[in-house]
Amino acid sequence: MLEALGSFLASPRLTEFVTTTPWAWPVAEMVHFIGMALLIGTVGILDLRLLGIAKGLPVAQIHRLVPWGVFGFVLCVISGIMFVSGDGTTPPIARFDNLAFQLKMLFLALAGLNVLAFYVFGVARATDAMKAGDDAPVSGKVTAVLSLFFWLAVIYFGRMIMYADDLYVAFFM
Amino acid sequence: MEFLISLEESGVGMWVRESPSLFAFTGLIALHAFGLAFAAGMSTAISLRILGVAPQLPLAPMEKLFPIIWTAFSVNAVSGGLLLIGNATGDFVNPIFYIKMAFVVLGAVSVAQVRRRVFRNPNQATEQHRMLAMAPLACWAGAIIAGKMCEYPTYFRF
Repeated sequence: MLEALGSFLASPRLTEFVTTTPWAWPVAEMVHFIGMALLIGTVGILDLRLLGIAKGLPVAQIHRLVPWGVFGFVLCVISGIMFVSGDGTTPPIARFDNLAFQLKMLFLALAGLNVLAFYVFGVARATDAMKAGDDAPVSGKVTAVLSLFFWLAVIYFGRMIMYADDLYVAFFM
Repeated sequence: MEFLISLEESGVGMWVRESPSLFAFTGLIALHAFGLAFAAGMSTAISLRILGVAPQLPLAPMEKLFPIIWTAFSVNAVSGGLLLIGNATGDFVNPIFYIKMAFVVLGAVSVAQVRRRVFRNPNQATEQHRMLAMAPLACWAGAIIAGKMCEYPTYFRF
C-alpha cells in the first residue's frame, strides 16, 4: 500500500526535479523543520496544558493556535513528498523499504488516530470546556501523553532515516 | 586548525562520531530536533499570540512556557555542543556556521526581551511589542535555514 501511494505521489517530473536540483533536498528539509516547529509549538502547548502546565490558559482558546500547527503539518507533507520522490541512489534517499521510514509512518498513523479519537470520542468537547485553572479529565490527559509520545517518535524515526542502515546493523548485530 | 583536529579526535569527538550507541550521533541529532521543536515552536506560538493570533487567549499564563523553552534550548546547547566537537573541522571553518550561531544567540536574546518587555504588561499590546515578537520568528527561521546549510555543506558552495 505504501509503495502504491509512493508511486502515485512520486511523479517522474518531481523525481527529475529533486534528483537534478542540488538544493531541492536541503531546502525541503528546511521547510520540513519549520513545519515541525509550528506543529509541536502549537499542539505541544495544548498537550502540556491538558497535563497541567500553564493552567491559566483556557483550552478552547489554545485551540485557536492549532490551525498554525495544521499549516506546519501541511508544510511537512509537501516537503516530505519531495524526500520520497528520489530514485533512492542519490539524495533524497528516503525509501519505502527503509525501516526507520516505516516506523515513522507507523507513528504518524498512530498520531493521526489519536487526533481522530480526540475529536470522535468527545475529548475535544470535554477539554474545550476547561476554563483557566481547570484540570483535564483522564481521557484528555491520556490523549495528551499519547500525542506527545507519537509526535516525538515521528521526529525520532524521521531523523533516523538517513542512518537507518548503519543504525540497525549496529542494533541487531 | 590543529586545535580543531585535536578536538575532533578527542575521546568525546570520536564517541560522538563513531560510537554505535543510540545516544551518540543519532541520539544527539534526534535530541537536537526535539529541542528545536519545543524551543522554536513554543516561542513561535507566543509570538503569534502577540501578533494577534487567538486574541482571546490570555497572554499572561503563557509565561509558564518560558521554562520549557529554556529547557529545550539547553538540551540543544548540550547536544549541539557535542555534535560540534565531533565535527569541529567541518563547522568551525564554515562561515555559515557562524551565521547560524548569530541567529541562535539573537533568537535567545529576543525571546528573553519578549518575556521582559511584553510579559511585564501583557494586557497592553503595543506596536513595539508586535515588532519585538517578530524577532524570534525571524531568528529561528534563519537558524533553521543556516543550520541545514551547515548540515549539507556540499550543496551550498559559494
